[in-house]
Parts: sequence; structure tokens; C-alpha cells
Amino acid sequence: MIAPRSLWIARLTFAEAVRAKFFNVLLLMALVLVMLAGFFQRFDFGTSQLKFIVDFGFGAVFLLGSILTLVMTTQSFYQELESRSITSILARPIHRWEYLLGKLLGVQALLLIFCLLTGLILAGLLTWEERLVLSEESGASEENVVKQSEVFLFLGVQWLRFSVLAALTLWIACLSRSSLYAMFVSFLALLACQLQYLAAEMYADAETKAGLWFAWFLKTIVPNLQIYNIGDLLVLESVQEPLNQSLIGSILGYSVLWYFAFFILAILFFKDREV
Amino acid sequence: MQQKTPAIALIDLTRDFPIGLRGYKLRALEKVNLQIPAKGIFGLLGPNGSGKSTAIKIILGLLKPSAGSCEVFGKPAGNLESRNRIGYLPENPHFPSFLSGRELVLYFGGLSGMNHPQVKERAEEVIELVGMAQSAHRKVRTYSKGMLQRIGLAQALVHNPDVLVLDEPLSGLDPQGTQEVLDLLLTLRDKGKVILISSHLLTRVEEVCDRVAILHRGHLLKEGKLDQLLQEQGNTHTVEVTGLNEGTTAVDLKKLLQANNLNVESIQAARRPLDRVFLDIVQKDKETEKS
Repeated sequence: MIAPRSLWIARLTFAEAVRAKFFNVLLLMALVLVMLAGFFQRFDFGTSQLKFIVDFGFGAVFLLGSILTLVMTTQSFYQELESRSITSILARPIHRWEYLLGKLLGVQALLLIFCLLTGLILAGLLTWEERLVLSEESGASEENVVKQSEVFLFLGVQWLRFSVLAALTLWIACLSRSSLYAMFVSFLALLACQLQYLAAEMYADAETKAGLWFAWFLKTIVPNLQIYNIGDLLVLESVQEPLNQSLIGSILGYSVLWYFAFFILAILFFKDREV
Repeated sequence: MQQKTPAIALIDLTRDFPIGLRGYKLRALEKVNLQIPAKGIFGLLGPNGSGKSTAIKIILGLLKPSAGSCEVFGKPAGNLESRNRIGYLPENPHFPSFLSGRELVLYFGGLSGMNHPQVKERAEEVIELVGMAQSAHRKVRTYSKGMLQRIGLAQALVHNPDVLVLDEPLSGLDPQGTQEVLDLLLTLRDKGKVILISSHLLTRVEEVCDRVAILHRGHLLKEGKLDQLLQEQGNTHTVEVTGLNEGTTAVDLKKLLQANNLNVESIQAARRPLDRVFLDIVQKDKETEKS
């Protein structure tokens, strides 16, 4: 059961974040980008119409969702620290881990809204385009059959990615001294996580013992955020390799592991921090 | 007879702040020993930078002492039990502006671990107590400074703490707002709350404090009952006389005192503090309007 005090913090964090201009601008941008996917697809001649919309929509969600996660997590943490309103909160009979959990849950709730709204628009657009394609081509192939529910499955997986990223950002915020620094380092950490597969490749190809250890160390301490890129396995009936259900389970387990690892690190760094 | 446990006890309390990478330390508090009794209003006085806020942060568990200790009703400061017995109003409180006064009090009640029916009932009580019942539905961003302080007091009181810790509660208030807050503190004292006020506005705090401690550069210079501290002036007295006629009066008074072998250093017309004059004028105006 989640500590009720964390839920109070989460509610306020969420209420503050949805009022933030940054969130609303980014959400609007994401929705517009997804809607414009149908327009941009006319510049693409290599893939099918629907495949382009899926790739473009998923790309927009990943990019803007990652920015949103970095900025909102850092902002929600530093806003109270810089305005010193955190002293009124931590002077209450509340554990510091409850405070951090509340912050994290509030940001996760915000990201859930972001994923749901962009998912709705994307699923709607795909349905619309599917009808257009089917009406234009009387003998349309399986390539044009869309599984809307998988749009939400993909966005659920992205939400897990954003949750891990939020926990990572919170940890970085706990050890940083300014919001700008925290945001910058979190961005670098995101890049490192996206490129973690290079360390795994280096590990496989290592020729010296030192190289092997170094590559092992890197691939162990950095989570691999590429595992969430399962867009190619979803949505369209025509995909080469259909989704293996156990993959979702392993992504979930991987996310829980890293989420709690970063959360525990955040607690350790925040435990004795002067506020 | 068993001695009553003090509400707050600072024992050899020292706090250093590291400066820069070379390990220099700024000593904000040095071996401060202080007991705040479980009754009345206690003033922690001193100029800016004297260590008042550091002491308060340690009492609240927001900072850890470098040496020595701090206890709240005999328990280490900072643990949940101690914090549950303290209500805190920071200096220039910054509350989420989109909440109404009532929502703010409910939020802080929830943070204190109260369940919803409990906090709802208690919130109405404290909002009434601080005189904000008419404005509790309004957003916090529409409040004046005085209203913010009062709703701040309501949030500090919502979980019914035994001790109220108020950091510069009069800072930025006009004389009328100051008087309202001071009156409220006296009401709370009468209801049995222990109140610790940190302030550098000595003249106003003087009106309500039972005991005071004076800090300067991290050292405790003086501590005791306010009346005793104010009377520690040797054998010099101020004499206030009314009913004298203009012109001859001061000379007559001087002659009278000299006839009794008293040395008169100076005679001046009595002055009243400006904020007191202002308050009286406003009060008179209010009474005129009422009548």
C-alpha cells in the first residue's frame, strides 16, 4: 500500500504540473505533431502510409515525452526547494522517502495523461487513415489492418520508460545543487541510456581483460532504454516478427528493477540533504 | 518534586556550515544551552545572522547538529513523534497559489497523517480560530500578507500540535496585521499552546513574550523572564507624569525631585511608539464607524 502522505504530495505535484505552461505547450506540440503525421507521410516514399504514421507518432511521443519527463521531474523537485516551501512540508511528520515517492508518483500521473492523450489521437488518426486506404484500394492487403489497442500497449511501454527516466532524473536532482545542472546531467544520462547497447556490443567484442571489465561495468550500471523500442513489433498486422508476450513481462520487470534502484539512490542522497 | 520536561531543549548545540572546497567552516551556533518551558510564549531574538533560523531548523529536524543535541518533550528532534508535536510557520510562507485557503489547510492536515473526516472537521475549527472563515474559499494568491500569515497559522495548527514554531511571523506585516497576529498568539497561548517566536522586531514581540533568549553570532547572550530582563537596568527609572500644566511643569517637577535629593538627568515629554499611535487612530475610526 502506498503511504497516504505520499498520495497527498503526488496529488499536489500533479495539480501543479498540469497547470505548468511547459506541460501544456509540450502536450499541444505532441498532439499537433501526431495529427500532422498524416500530412508528413506524403514526403515519404519508402514505407507504407500507415507505417509512416505509426513511426512518426511513436517518435514524437518518445522525443517530447522524454523532454517532458526531464523538465517536469526537475522542476517539481526544485520549485519547492527554491521557494523554501519544502520546509513546511518536511517539518510535518513525514518521511523523506514518502516525499520523494509523492513527487515521483505525481510526475508519473502527468506522464500517464500525456501518453493517454497522444495515444487517443494516434489511434484515432490511424483508424481514419485505415478507412481511407481501405476505401481507396478495394483489394487492400493485410498490411493496412491496424490494431488500435497496440497503440496503447506501446504507449504503456513508453510510460514505463518515462517512469524509469523520472526516477533517474529525481536521483540526479537529489545530488545536484541547481535545477539547470540537474536537467543538463539528466539529459546526458538519457543519452547514455539510449546508447547503452554500444557497451553491450563492446563487451561482446572485447579482446583484453581490462576492456572486458570496463564494458561489463558500463553495461551493468547503465540501463538500456533501447529495450522499450518495440514499435516495429506492434500496431500493423503486416509486421515481420509479431510481439512475443513474454517480452512485455521482461520489460516490466526490467523497469521495476531500475525504477527502484534509482529511487533508493535518490532516498540515500536526499536523506541528510539540508533544505 | 519532579521537574517538568521542557517543550524544547537545546543541549550544547553547535552547528557548522562548510564553506568552499578547502573545508572552512562557518559556525552558526556554538554550544547553545537553552530550555523552552512547556508553557507560554518564548521569544528567540537576535539580529539577522544570529543563528535563530538555524536553531529552528534543527528543532524541526530539517538540519542535523554538528555537535550537541536537541530534544522536543524529551525525544530527539526530527523524529516523527517530535515533528507531530510541532506546528511550523516559516518566514514569508510560500504556498501553492492555486489552492484555496481551505484546500491548503486540508493538504497540510493530510500530510500530518490525519484521515479525511478528521482533517475536514479540524480544518474548519482552525480556519474559524484564525478568523479566516469568510475567506477560506478564496485562492491563496488573492490573500493579503496578513491573511497569508493567518492561513499559515491555520495550517500549522491543523494537526493540533503542542508547540508552535513561528519564524519571523511579523515580517512584512503592517501595524494592524501585526496586532492581529499578536492577538491570535495570545489566544493560542491561553488555549495551552507553547509558542516559540523567532524575530528581530523586538518592540512588538516584547508585547507577548513571557520569556526570551537573545542570540548573537551563534552565542546565547541572555535568557530569562522578559520582565526580569527589562528591569535589569540598575537604579535608573522612567517617570511618567500626567496632569501637569504647560510651561512651568517641567521646572516644577525638576525642583520637586531635586528637593528630595534625586538627581534629574533629563526631562522629556513622553513619546509613544508610532505603530501604537497608528493603531489607536484606526481603532477610534472603527469605533466611530460602528457607532
